[in-house]
Amino acid sequence: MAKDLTGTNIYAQKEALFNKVVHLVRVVRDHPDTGESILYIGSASGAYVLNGNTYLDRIMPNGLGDFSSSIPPGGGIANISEWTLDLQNIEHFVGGAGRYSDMLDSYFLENDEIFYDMIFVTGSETEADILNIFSGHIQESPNNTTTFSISAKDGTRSTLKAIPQDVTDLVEFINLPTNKREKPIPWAFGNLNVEPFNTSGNRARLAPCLCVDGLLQKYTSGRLNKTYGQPYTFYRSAGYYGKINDFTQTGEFFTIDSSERDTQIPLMRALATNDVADWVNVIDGDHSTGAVIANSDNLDLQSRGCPKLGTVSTLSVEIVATGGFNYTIQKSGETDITGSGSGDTSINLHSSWDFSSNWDFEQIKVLIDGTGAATVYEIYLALTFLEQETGDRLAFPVFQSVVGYEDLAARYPDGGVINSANVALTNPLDCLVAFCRDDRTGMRMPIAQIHTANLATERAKISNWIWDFSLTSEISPDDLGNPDNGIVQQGKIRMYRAFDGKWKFKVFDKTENPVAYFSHRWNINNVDANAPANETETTLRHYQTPMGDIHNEFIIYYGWDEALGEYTQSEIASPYYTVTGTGTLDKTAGTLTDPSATFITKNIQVGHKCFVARDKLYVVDAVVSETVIEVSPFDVLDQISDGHSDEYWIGPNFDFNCFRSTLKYKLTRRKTLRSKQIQDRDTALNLLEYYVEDLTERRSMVKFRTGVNAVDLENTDFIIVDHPDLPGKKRPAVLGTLDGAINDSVTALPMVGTGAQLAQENDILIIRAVDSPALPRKYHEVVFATGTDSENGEIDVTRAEVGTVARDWEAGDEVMRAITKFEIVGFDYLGNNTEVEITAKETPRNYTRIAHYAPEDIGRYEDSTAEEQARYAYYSHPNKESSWLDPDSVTAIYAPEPA
Amino acid sequence: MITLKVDVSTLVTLKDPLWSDYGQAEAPRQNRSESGGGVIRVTELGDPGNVISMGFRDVEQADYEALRDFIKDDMQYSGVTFTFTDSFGDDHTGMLYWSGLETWKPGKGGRWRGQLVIKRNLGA
Repeated sequence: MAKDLTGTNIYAQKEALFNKVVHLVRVVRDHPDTGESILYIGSASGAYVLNGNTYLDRIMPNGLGDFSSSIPPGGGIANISEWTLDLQNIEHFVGGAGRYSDMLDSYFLENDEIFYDMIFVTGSETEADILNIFSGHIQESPNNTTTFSISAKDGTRSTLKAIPQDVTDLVEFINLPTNKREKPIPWAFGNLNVEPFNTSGNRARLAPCLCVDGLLQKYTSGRLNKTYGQPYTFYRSAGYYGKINDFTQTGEFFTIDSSERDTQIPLMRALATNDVADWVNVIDGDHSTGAVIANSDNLDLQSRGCPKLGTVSTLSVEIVATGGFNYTIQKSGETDITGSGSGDTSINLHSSWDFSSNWDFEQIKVLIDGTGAATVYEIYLALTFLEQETGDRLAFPVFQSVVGYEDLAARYPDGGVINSANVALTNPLDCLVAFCRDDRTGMRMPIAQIHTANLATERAKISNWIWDFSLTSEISPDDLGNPDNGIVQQGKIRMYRAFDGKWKFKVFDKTENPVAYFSHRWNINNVDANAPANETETTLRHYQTPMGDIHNEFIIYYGWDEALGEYTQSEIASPYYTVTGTGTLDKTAGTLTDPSATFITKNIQVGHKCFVARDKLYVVDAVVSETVIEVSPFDVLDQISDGHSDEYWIGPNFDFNCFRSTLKYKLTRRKTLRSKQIQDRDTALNLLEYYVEDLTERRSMVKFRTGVNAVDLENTDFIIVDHPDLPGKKRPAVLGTLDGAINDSVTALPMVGTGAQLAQENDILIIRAVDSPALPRKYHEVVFATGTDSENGEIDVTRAEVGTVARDWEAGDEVMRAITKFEIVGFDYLGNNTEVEITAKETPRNYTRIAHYAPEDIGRYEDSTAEEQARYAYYSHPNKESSWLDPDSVTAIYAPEPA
Repeated sequence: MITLKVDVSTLVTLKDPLWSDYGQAEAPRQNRSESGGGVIRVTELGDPGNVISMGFRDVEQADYEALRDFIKDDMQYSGVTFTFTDSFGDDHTGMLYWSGLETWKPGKGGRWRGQLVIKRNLGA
């Protein structure tokens, strides 16, 4: 959102065609002995007095440096350029007080604060009307005979620090292992409490621990967790966890009090004598799925092995089951153990067999003979042993089940909680703010350095995103804000210095409304206002994102497993398909039918993605036959388009955006994403969708200049841009015309013909005069559609949006729809010219499919048949061919369902 | 007659100029921008200045020398502000010598001709 300038005169003054501006500079000069003395400099002739301070006119012609800020196009942390100021250095201009360069005798300007502000002069302006452009710290101050220059660096970046800040030291931890010195204390977030040996078969997800005392065997998973649970050791050579049976938790630390461990070893494979088909259900760790063992069935399985990790205390075969059965446990060189069981059964091996020399568990065979109706859910070896601890000499990695960082006001230097007291922070935005605010291991920013007013709104944009992770190694600010898949970008977040000098966080949401409207007629400047009419040149430049930014095959690795040291899950968006053809959808049957298909032969699987042209993405639910598959919409809230017949593609990871991108750009380029923060599949899919939308298409970029009317804007704001140098498809295009005159307060636009049906709720509409001497085309009003009234042929709207003015409009005036929005990624204030230069990147569309794309040969609405008009109330760009391959080309909506 | 006066006792007078350009007032410092549709926005940054240009002819040598010496010694060229009283008797304070002395030349009969440009210091 734009700067909040409520209560200032800026909103009124910035839009005026004539205004007065004074640029103000304050240099807070400092000397350790004499303290501070502020130098006030202004651009007004002679002097400008405000609030008792006199700002002297000492700036050289064109002596105000340009302020320049930008954010990486995909998100991340903003950059702010250095700023320079040139002052007159001639003695008598300083009123006899000496030259400005003489200040260097009296003050140490290095890192002194400097503020560059502007104010609109009305005669009644106050200090509250000051708008800060730049604040920073002085770096260099060279001078010559006539000029004293100051260069300053933006100060906000200096508030960023590497995290975690809390590291080990020998003062607190006198027996710190040698290789653990100056190591970050782990900092855990989210739910790292999926314990091994759970009955759901889920991969363990625990917080890594750091040994802080090698003699006391003392560990911590972090000082700031909400809960501390069961610790485990992980044996990398075996791939198993060992539950630490005896431990003492004191605060955020625990000690390991004995070498006793519990572990479970799953069985490995079915033996040749096995005749139970579902035997895999018995070794998958999921106790809710099992294998039915009927009378005389043989469930014969072999155990896994395990390297010798210590001394066996107990060893048993555990059978989770219902019903009765007989069993035989075999091991080469040992007497069989036989018996019968009913329900859950535990069979002691250690009392019968010797494991003192070898842990040859791979020789164990478990033979279950069915005696009736039994269901076996799981079989595993349960082992208790004394670990051959080596302590700090060669420690096994230790983990703990925790719920991570707890939101407490006491955690921060000042201010309240980030989200809600006592909750564990898992939202990416909350985690990022915690990075900044935490007093112990974060960047310790006081609340005054954080813009908090918008946090709730931004959090809501990614309310279902979950991060569960632990920071165990240092992350630098550059890592944090790396424009190529840095942590900030993984939350779709932009982090930048707001006009009030605070860090501001913004989550990208393509559906966000614009806050400003720029058109070549109204407020996009020409290069030279003095140029003759036939020699004018616009400042707008249009270009596209680099070819190198195009990616159309994506894989995101997530589910980081600290114990294994690898990612365990991935999601893929791919342009590759297994089959293609032409099929017909049946909503009642839930099927796609292609008489020419060979789905079974082509090995189409349940779960494969199926995209139908001019329709939507489906998921294969079943392969009924060679020519019929059952499908359901990928978006569970959507419906099958009954009767729609069109081209389709099916593949394991088929993504239509990726496919279309390969066709358009004749290249395939993979983007690999890795996230240690994400464990949740939905979050991974959401992030994948964000990258797919952003990178499969080249985006239009615009750079243009406008006046001080744009001083309220900032990076990440969405704007609308209309200019003849933009491709036609990127410009607002006429939806229809007004069917009658309206005044400046009417909220229902009467439209000629079926124009009202072409609008949708939340559309951005622009009312523009048909050119007349009284109201030439440069005048416009932006309105937002709130709904349509097809019965009366009206579009309901809210008036005078994005700073435009409500006007009276005539019958025949045009109503345009703006589909393309741009996100500001560069904001420069050019003080000498009192201009703002904006760089903006096209955002993905709010919707790329409304209901159905119009068929390829359909032209404009007024050129189509009555039947087509009845079927499709649609809109196409005025000068482009219909092409369903191009989302910019044609969009269509179905006419309303008959009552 | 016109008068250039640093203080009550430090001044020089000269015959009325042949021509003078008071309308060559320096426009206020304004940035003007124009959109493609001809919408002009003006942001004013400073007060209007005042540049006065004058042309003289048939000036007696003694008067020229008095003017020259005044500019050199009393005004120190652009070093000292002065009050300019124009042909209409109006005072313009805070003026500085800007240029023109280099244009003076003797003409027929030993009389001098030349120009004078003076400019108001907005900071005075």
